[in-house]
Amino acid sequence: MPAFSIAPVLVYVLRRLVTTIPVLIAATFFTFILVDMAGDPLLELRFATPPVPDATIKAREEFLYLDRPTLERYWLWLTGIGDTRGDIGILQGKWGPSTQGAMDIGQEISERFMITLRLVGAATVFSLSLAVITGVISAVKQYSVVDNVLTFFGFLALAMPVFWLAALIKEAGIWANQNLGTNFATIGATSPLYYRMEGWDKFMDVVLHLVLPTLTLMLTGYAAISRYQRASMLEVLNSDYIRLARAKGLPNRVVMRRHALRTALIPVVTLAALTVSGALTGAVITETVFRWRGLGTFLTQAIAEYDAFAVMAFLVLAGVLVVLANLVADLLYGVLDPRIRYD
Amino acid sequence: MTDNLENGTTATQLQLRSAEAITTEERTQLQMVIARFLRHKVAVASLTVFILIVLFAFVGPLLWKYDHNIYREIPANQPPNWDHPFGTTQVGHDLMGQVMRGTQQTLKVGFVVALLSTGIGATWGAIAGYYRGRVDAVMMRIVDVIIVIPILALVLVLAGLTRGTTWWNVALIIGLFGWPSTARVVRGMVLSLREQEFVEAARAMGAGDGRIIFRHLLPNTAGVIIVDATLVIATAILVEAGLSFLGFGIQVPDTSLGLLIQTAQTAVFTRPWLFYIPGAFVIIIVLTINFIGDGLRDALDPKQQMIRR
Repeated sequence: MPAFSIAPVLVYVLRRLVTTIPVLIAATFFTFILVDMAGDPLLELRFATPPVPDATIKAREEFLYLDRPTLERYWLWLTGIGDTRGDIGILQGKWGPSTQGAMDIGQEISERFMITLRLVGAATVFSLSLAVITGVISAVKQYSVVDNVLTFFGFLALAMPVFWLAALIKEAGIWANQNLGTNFATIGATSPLYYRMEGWDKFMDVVLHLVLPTLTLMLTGYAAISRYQRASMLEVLNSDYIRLARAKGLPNRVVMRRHALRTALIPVVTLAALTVSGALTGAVITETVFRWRGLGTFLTQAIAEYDAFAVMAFLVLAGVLVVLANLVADLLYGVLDPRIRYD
Repeated sequence: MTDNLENGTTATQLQLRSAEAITTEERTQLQMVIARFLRHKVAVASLTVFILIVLFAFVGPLLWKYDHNIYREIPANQPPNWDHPFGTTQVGHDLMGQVMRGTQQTLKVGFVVALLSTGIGATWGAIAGYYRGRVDAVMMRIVDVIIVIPILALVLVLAGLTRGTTWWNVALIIGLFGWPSTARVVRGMVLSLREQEFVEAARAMGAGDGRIIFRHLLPNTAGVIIVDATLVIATAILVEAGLSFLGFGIQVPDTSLGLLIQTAQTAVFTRPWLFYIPGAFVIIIVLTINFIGDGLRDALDPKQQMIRR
């Protein structure tokens, strides 16, 4: 048996990253054109009453690079080559000028990204765990009362709009705070006094703000994967090698954990990337309801202000996140299924 | 002979015989599909509820005395009562009139998106799967590109930046980006279908590529496409509701279920009917569509037996 080595995995990761770059670049081109066609950021200025002097409009156009043709603007946005002001060119880490006053898109988005990442991360972990647990229980107790109840709740969760559930959970949290003496935070990602806290208090503050939004995203995200987990577990449980494992006299616990679950997890891992993407979209809405200053509100604000470069920044970040989640899923595949090799 | 059988039959044998008894009757494909669908109790119940909701949304406004606009004679903040079965809002809307209109807009968006996105997706997937090779590679890379971006974000950006959105705009935008998953599924099916004899037979009889794709391959994926369409409707309805909720979808004075929930967000405890009724409608619509899809999946699967296992 050859010794396990990390090298082929690294090569695989590198190759995957290289192949996704064209897809990402194509995606940015496509969205750039769409965003560009969708609206003119200076529309209000052009038709303002009383009329704004032409020179002002010219200056705005120049500031937002609207004086250049679309394709040139895309090239500029991507590479920053041919720019004299030095504020654009995403490959150089410059995100372009914003229509929202003196906001620096790069700085703003990285701050907000960390906040949203907390929510998306927690939601993904919890909804995947819930999905695996309910899916396995449903499969093992197929057609029992438990299975039927879980299936019903799964369908219900699939049908529930995120914002409805979010508003409901928020109001329920407020009710619990008033009547049961709990201490859930219902507004914001941290308290206003967060910057003055230390160590443990800081941590608890973050956790208390996370509970309700995470619960929302967890409940809206777990159901689809739970169904897949159930189907995949059922298939495995009915297979010959599980019968063999039982015939060998292995205890039920070992059969389930080592033989059945491990194999049944494989198809579900592919969906993990989907969960991240779902949690991200869910976060846009959940953050609005719970008033988080995260990526969600960043996006809605950017749209409201016709801030094309800020919108692009969000889409690039979302795309990269989904691509990375896909990569992680593929790597986990290899951990779960020894037949898969990276060469 | 019969006696022998009667005595020695087990439950399964009896079932098998009743299965034979059923299959010996001559039936058309459609009859079989309907028979299988009717056996799925939850799906049938869902279909009934769904039809009632469609009637409520499209016929209801013709019969009910209020529409979704503000009327002076409507008292403010009434909980559900005989005059206003769903209650009223602060400014003088009749909630039932609003819910009728909202449901109507929501359903229209769902249906248009289903037509558009399954149409594009099925054609795209069938062409990619049929020609394979370079055509397939390019077409599927495009699908990858669209899938990378979360659909709600994309739709949000477009609907938001174009402003002044109506239900038709919302439907178009969702429909234009909802098809990649359909394309993937159909491509997968076409890849295996194209190798079968009936395609070769069609080609031997002189059928062109277009004819093979649209007359021979696509009809064979109909089952999958129909089931997929139900999922698309459900997703579209949730996306539309989300858009309207964020304020970038259907705009006042028109209304949609998402918009109604958005205005009632803070009234969960003070005026619960404003929050729960539109929410319940979204949930029931999506729930019933999902169950109908489930029933159709079983009904359209030719491998399903005519007897219950």
